[in-house]
Amino acid sequence: VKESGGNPLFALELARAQSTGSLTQVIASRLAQLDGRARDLVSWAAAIGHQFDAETLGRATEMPSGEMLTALEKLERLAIIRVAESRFYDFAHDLVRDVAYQTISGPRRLLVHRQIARALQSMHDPDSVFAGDIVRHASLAGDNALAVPAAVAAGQRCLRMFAYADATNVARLALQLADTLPPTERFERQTQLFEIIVTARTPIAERLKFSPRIAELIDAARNNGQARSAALGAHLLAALHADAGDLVGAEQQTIRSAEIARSADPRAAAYAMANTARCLLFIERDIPRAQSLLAEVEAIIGAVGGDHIEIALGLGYLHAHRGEYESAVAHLGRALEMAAREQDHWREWCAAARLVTLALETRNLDAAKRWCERLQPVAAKMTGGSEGVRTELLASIARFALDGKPRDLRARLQDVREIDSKSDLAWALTFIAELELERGETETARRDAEEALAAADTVGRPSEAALARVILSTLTGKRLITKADPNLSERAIRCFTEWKETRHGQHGRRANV
Amino acid sequence: MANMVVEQTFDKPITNEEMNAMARRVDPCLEAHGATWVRSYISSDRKRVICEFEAADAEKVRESYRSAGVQFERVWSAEVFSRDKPTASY
Repeated sequence: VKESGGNPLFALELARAQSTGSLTQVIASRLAQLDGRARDLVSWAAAIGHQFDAETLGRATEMPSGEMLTALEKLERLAIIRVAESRFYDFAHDLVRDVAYQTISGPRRLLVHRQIARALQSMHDPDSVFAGDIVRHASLAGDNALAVPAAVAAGQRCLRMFAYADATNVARLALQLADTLPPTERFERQTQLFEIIVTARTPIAERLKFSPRIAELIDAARNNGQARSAALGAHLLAALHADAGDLVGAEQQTIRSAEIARSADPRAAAYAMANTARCLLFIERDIPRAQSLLAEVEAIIGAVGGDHIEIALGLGYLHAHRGEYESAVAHLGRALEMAAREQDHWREWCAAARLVTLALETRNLDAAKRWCERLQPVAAKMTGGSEGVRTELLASIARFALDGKPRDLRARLQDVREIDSKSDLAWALTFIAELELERGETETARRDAEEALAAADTVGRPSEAALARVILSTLTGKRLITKADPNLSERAIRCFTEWKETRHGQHGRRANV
Repeated sequence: MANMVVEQTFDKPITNEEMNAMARRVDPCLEAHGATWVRSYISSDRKRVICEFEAADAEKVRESYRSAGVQFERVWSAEVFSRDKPTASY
């Protein structure tokens, strides 16, 4: 009974086969008596492991489902397998599995494991639940090209589940397997595996042991022209130094800022930097810093790949600020599509709203009308904010720019005053004042420019303030611009330059080109 | 700087940890926008929150909340109202 593991069926079998003296032989002989399909299935199931499901088995064996189900039923009836939980089967006894596995010849075992790994790989698995099993089967099959990427997915899954020791173990195992990969893939995979080890919050002393190997990888990748892997390797090394409190070492390893150096994930750091840059551009403050942040973001993304709404939105705003309209429209269009795909209504609205103001500033009035139409349904999806009111104002301004009829313009301006959005008010009144100035409506232009200037000064919008001052200077002939501001937009600088050139030209000034 | 009021409502009672987590998300945006948190009130059933800020305009506060992905009911600029001292009746 002890040898049978308490299984009454095997106890009985063992009693019947006393002369053989071995339960293993008893089981082997029982399995040998199975017909073709059932015997075949037992081998595959034994190779899969302790628990297996019909889907994996079906994909791996490519057995017609009808035949497979008949064979499974038979195995269940003979108490060789049993239903374990929900959709899984298990062997009635570990001994049966062991014996069944031993009966598979060495060369066939490799094929069976490869086939199982491929079957698992072909299954829909967005959370990489099967990644660990793929690693096991692919490495048993000696298929490192399949095992290593699966190990990367498995390690990343472990990180997401905070299973840091498991993440490190799987990455460490896969690093050995990765040595056999062709150079290009090897560097990329080794970098990903080191990224897992560095990111896992295991004791820093343990992680630091990998520093020499990461340094070797950087050199080898650089010598083989794999700049992307070399760059990411440098980021990882810097992150390790930073985690160890060695910020000087971190800086020596990379030109990245300390902010990046502390992060083991350069993409996440790039997105965070893009967010800061986008924010600065939205509020038109510290534009040179926003510019250098975005340059660094582009360098990192160029090296390690990836994209994010904040990057596209930030670049769109930056190019618009610099007066590079075509590229601004391209980036903003990209941000718009990404945000729409991700159901990020606010960023979708921001991208579309900037496309409207950009089209108006460049007097591309048909485009302005088109973008307004895109803006309205997005605003309708948003509750609690100011987007509806601001959208209506933009639509009203676009109509006014087209035919000069104010219609509901003053009412929409009043709505924006009531929601207290001074940046919008400053932009709108400056733009309206420009149109009025061109049409010779000097009194309303002056009133609007004065209110725009007050609003722009209150919320610190240097470009709108400068534009309002140019309009007032044009009207009064007095120079109201005092000092240059590094945050001024190209549009504001151009208007000021034109005003200087046509000084005292009064109403002849072209507001925009 | 003017006074700004943010109103928020929640389907389920909000915990202090959730309030703090929300604040951590919004704070960097508020700081960038030059806005300062003054105080918050939470209803006894913990389903309503009123936050008071100082900011240049209401839009700066809205933008901070939107950017951080934190929902709100409405944001409005406000003046502090002080009642006259009650007249002594004796």
